[in-house]
Amino acid sequence: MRIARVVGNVVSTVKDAGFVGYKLMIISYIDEPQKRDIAFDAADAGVGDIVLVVADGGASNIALGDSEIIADVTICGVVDNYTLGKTIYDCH
Amino acid sequence: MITGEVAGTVVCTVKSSGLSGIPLLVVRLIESGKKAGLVVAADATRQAGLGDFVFLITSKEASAILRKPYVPADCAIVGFIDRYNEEIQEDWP
Amino acid sequence: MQICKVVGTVVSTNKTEKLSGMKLLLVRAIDLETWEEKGPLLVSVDTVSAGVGEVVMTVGGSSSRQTEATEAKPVDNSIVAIIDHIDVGSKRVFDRTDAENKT
Repeated sequence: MRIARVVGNVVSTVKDAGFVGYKLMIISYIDEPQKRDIAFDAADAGVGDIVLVVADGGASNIALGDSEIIADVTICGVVDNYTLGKTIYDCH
Repeated sequence: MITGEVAGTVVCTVKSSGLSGIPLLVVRLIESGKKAGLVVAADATRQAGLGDFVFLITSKEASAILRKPYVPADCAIVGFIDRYNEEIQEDWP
Repeated sequence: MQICKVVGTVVSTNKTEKLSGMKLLLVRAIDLETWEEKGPLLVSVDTVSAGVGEVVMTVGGSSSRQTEATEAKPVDNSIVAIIDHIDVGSKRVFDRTDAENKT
């Protein structure tokens, strides 16, 4: 899992039938802010939230509770705070 | 599967119960006869030692090869290499 | 498997119910040649009660769900061991008691 910030969302009408009904968010990793990824959302995250993402197909299936979905990156939690070394980062 | 040479050992007292009794070794990967990076692997043969040439299986199959439930391993030594032949030709497609 | 250093902690209350009760730690992989931290900052599920500053072993991918605590959970990285010592060749490259004395 990695920590990322939700920086936007994606709206799509034409997509794989298995993706219908899922929210797609754009994320940037906190240790790699220039990189962008599109993630499924299993934690009701909003733009600006710091989130936990899993980057594994099997874990995405479990997080979304859908064994059929073909997903790679999925948001599975909203982070309250994290510490790195002695610094505490409050995410609210 | 990948090939390597056993280069060292890892010792842990506190570990996941599924890993108990399984040696953990440091393996120097060998790619096309050349030494590459170091990885940590579970020894499914339970008899590899320093300097042995081995082949390893990665990913979920590494936990499957240990044939018991709950073995969190993603790289495992599965056999020893007696002889290794690789022909490399420049004009191969 | 990857040798990692625990560099931080993560607290999340609003997560999928399948992740509740799990202790999350921030880890970074250690290069076994240079003993320097490398690669991305990863969030790993702690199954062995590790602490910040400790050197641990993590597994990634679907193997990370092969523990009693993480089975069928949305997890892609787990801490499965706390390292006592590592020998490469005839050299001891890491010793937990030495590391504890330094800090």
